[in-house]
Amino acid sequence: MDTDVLVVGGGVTGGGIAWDLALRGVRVVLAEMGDLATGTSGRYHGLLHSGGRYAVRDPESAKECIDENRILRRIAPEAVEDTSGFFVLCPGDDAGYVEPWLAACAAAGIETRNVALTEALKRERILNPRLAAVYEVPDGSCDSWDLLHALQKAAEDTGNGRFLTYHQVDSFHKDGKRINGARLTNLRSGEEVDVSCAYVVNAAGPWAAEIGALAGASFNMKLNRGAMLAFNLRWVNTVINKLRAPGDGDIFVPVGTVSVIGTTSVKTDDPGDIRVERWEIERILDECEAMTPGISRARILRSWGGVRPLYDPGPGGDGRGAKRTFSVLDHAETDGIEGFASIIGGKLTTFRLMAERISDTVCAHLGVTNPCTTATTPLPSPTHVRQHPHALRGRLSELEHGNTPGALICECELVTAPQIIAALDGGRRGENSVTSLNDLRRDLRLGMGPCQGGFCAVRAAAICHDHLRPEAAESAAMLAEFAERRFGGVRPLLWGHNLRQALLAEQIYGRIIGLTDAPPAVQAMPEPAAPPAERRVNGGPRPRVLVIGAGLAGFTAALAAQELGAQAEIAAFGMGRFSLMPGWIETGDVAALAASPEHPYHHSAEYVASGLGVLDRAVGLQRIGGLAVTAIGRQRVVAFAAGGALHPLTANDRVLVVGIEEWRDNFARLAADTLRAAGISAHAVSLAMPHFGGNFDDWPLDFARWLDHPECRDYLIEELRTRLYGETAIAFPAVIGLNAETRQVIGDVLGVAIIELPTLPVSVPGRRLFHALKARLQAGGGRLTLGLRASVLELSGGRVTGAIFETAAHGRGHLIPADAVILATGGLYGGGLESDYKGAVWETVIGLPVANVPPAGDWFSEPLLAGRPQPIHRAGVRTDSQLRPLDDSGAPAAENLYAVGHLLAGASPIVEGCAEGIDLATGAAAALHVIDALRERATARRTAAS
Amino acid sequence: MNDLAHTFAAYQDVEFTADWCVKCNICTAACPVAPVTELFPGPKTVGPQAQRFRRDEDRGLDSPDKSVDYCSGCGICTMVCPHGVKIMEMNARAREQLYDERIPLRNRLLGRNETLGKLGHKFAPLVNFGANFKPARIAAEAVMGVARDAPLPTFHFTSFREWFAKHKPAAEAPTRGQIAYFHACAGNYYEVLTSQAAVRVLAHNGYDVLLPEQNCCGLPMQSNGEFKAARSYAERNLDRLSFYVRRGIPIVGASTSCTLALKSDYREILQIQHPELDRVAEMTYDISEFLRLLHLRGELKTDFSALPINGKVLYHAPCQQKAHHMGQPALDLFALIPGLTVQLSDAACCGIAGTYGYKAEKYDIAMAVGEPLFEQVREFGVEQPVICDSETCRWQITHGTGAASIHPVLALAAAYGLMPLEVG
Repeated sequence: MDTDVLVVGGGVTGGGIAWDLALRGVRVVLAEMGDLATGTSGRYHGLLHSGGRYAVRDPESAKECIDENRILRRIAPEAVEDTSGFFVLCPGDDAGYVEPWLAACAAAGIETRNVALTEALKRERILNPRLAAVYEVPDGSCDSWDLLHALQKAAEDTGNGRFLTYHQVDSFHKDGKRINGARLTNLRSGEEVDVSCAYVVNAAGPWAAEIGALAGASFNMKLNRGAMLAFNLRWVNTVINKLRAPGDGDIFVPVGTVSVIGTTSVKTDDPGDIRVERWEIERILDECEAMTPGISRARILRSWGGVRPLYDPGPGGDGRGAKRTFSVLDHAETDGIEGFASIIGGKLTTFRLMAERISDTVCAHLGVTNPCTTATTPLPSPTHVRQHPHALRGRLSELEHGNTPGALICECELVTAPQIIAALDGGRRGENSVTSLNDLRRDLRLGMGPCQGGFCAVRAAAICHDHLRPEAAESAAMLAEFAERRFGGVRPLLWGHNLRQALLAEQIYGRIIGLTDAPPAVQAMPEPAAPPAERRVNGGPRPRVLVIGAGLAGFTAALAAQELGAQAEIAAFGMGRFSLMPGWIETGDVAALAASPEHPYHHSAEYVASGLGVLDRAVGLQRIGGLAVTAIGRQRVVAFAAGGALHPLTANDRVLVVGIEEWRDNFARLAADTLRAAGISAHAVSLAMPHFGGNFDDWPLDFARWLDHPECRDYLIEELRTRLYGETAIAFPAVIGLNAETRQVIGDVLGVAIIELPTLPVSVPGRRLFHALKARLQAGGGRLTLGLRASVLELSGGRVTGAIFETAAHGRGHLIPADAVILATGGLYGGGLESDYKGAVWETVIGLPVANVPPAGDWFSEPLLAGRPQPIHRAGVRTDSQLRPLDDSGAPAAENLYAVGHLLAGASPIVEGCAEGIDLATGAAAALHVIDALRERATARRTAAS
Repeated sequence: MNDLAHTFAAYQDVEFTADWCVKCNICTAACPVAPVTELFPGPKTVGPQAQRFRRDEDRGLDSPDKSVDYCSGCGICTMVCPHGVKIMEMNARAREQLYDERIPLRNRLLGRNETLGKLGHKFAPLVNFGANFKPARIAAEAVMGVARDAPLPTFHFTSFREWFAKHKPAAEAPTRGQIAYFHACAGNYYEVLTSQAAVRVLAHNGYDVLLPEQNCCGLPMQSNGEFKAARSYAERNLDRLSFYVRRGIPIVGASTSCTLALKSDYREILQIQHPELDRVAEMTYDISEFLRLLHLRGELKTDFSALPINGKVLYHAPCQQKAHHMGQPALDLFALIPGLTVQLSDAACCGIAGTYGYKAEKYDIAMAVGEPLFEQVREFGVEQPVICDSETCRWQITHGTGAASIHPVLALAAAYGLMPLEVG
């Protein structure tokens, strides 16, 4: 390959140089070892500096910034957003900085405007209302990917530029002291490429010293890494800077749909050191609180680090103290190496100027006299450059108004099935390099939203499996690796919302998909038991038992109390965990788990049977005591089927795995391949259901409702009949009617066993369970009210007399009086526990002490799918032997207050395989203790009265 | 406890609760509209999901998603969300941006419940004739998009205020103080009997009922995208009601959606800034809620006698009633009426959702949403009145089933013997 100039480095500086030279008629090849903008440019906070940040300490940089800021707005309007910027003087910061700063801005030509606090608060309502001063400057925000892709397009459009990504420089070719080419390796194909050229420009950012060394040039850099956090929402529309000398956590930048806060400054020697340490996150959030109080409660999507490639010309300041301007090193002058120059330092805002300066040097050497024109040449619009995957509004609009956009696979980033298939087809034809979930992520942003691939990765893995046809184990491994990577990226951010999201992903990957490494061992099977008649309420008014929480534990407690004669009422904030239940009951190894004094079973193991009895009477349990099949055909140990249909598979079974064609959760082929790999005869079919037009988000329930119509059920039966060739079982997604009769009829008519494979939420088996439990509660005179968030318990003489719930009337509560209260509010997922970035965990109704809270930063230290408990799993409320929660002194918090279910400390339910078991056991146990205590109290009162 | 949440008002803000969404789909599964129409992709999609892209509105860009208009605003999504995402409220606010200033005449008309009421009751026989006269309704649909079959109310010649001026019931002993009665538009023009029942029940329990000057709560305008007008109505109400709350006089109403507007919508959706906003919210009561509280305090008279109703009646707690987050206080009151057995309806929503079902393009959706409730009513038997707290829901139930429908307070007034049980 022959060219005039080889540019090493595919950041904005390299891209800018290629564009500049190409405009001057110079042929350029750009070599980048990764994808474009994967180094410092892509790990940037998005701030287009006005220069205000540098005005006092580094006036040269400030001047460069404001000049380039104005130029970029002209030449790249679509990559730049005119957000404007505020410099805010926070309480406690030095007011003496303001005057010199104003003077320095004026000297650099940066316009400043004093903004009244009321105006500032009107524009940005989350600003600290106690700010001492606010000034407006012409900051902006800039999308570095858009910018770089525009540079590539512009350079290539001249016919002079060519960009090679995934090409690493191995060595330089020399003729004496003159560099005249380089050997590159195509990292994707392994192929070696020789480039001959007249000049090499080193624009490798933090790797510049390494590239320089390859050429024999030696210079020092001061690498410095900084951390940034992106919030899920666009909290501000104006860039917010702290009005003080630059420090940690003092810039807040709106970028597209998110907002970014940064940064920190840590010396490093490794150009690839993009770590973010926990203290950096805490520091940034602590600092940012001064600008926007409460912001640390907001959801953070992602944290990342970038390395500042600062130049070290000799003794001088480090980190933020170092000059932020840039240097051109002509190595003919510094090292006696001809045809080689490096560009070091600078910042994204000044990339064009940097490119201009070094291109001037290059042109002087090449004898090119054409002047630089980049300051006046508009860049092409990024929307014409490529699909513009970062403009999510466009996708939303497309989804709403486009013609048949196809199934929505990634709901956060709005990626559709046709987009994924097109990308994979491109990979197969060699047009792109998309062959994995991770490639799809980079290409389409799949899995980059708040749920971190919790849902979409499974769907996309199934599409990959259908199209690329690898072994089932390879698809599962790719999915597991992707999930680990996504959660690895948010691991330092796992508190509050993100922790809840991770716990949801555990449920999905652990139970519904079944990817955890070590499923729990087979257990001794407990039996459902009848209610103990001797422990019923004996006469008198029915005691009022109030249960807070409508999950399985809450329902079990309420129904068990009702069966023993209580007037039961469930008040809950939102629906319980039923929407995630796979349709079976896991109890785990009850005896072994109960042996630990920390475990909820320790005080409730003997009540597992009572809890199962309550459930059996409500829905009818099907005894399994074996393996259930997950959504993608893996197997997991379960005790009973409840709400779903199971059939433990044997080697003699032949399974037809059925998927629905237009449904985005069609895992049939992956499931069949997985079963076959486990030695079970299975094959997949996908059925078209032309008469069903369901809502894509509500597909499972919609389909189940549809199938409950006899004519629809019969249509499905006929479709299935033509595809059966002696199979003994049909594995069907768990959507076969809300009515149990529907699947009964299908199985009976076809003469096969029906296995329901759990689906991604919402779970139809969970819904069946919820309906059955609710119906039984109401039939017994009990009441269920949703939308009630308990805010406080009413106490009198060491007893709870009722609970008060938040109402729509601001500040006024809704009182429900009760003779006993059972807290079934759930754990960190369900909302009974809450946590923050400082590492605090608290109980949300009355602030009960929470036990087993691991040190901050050590909450989620195991891999997501390792099958080992995460330290945070065991956090929860401790109780006495009657399941009454303990206060700080270790005594019951109230005489008649009980706690059940996932709120309790000491369990790791998914790993231990006891998610339903602890709900059933503790729910039933608490109910029995409640009734015993109330009966004794009533008896004692009657005795006292007589 | 963590006190940060209290220092950061914006964080409690509706849009920002989008942060709490974990994509679990509970809301979509509970939504009554999504299953019956492809035009509405569901609350999660148009709510917390789209919210990530909507902040661009601040930059003057058009909302890319229009389907949020098909949200009926019933609020079941918010009710079932275990994580605290204010989905319905988010969607209601998005509708403001959707319509902006380009509000169709039909929406303006439906939003002006009060003006319609004023005109309607003056010309009651004529209007009632027109409402039942098919050609007029067909013309209205063609011209304005008001669904020809939607259940229009029957206007009364005498408004509640006119009646009250002559027949104000005196507080019975023992007297308990004063109440400001918020009758709302429906209570003044169409549901006059309900208002009469409410003030009689209050007077029976010792309250001197005052009738504050008031206008429409603004909710119909709000749900038709006319936020500006809704805000001016809301502010006028707050100005007038301030007088009462400053004197510690509670505000009670029987139109459950209107009392909800005072309690919650003014703050959460219209984002009103008013010095007495919180105090008005805190002192506003739905009539059943107020009576239940009296009972908890032992102050409610329980001299109820059996109603002329055979056996069980069906009670449908409307969406707007549930959104008060106060349970179903009517159930506690019914339990005091001898011989009355009440079954709670299992259906999510009747479909009408305020003015939603009046729009021609949404009429069929509203009827499909209501079908499970209609089915229950039919199974239950249409001879018995269905009890329901919201007037438009009652009209819809009657329209969908032929069964009469009454407000709980009418049943209570009858059981007290204060007025006959008129169900027609």
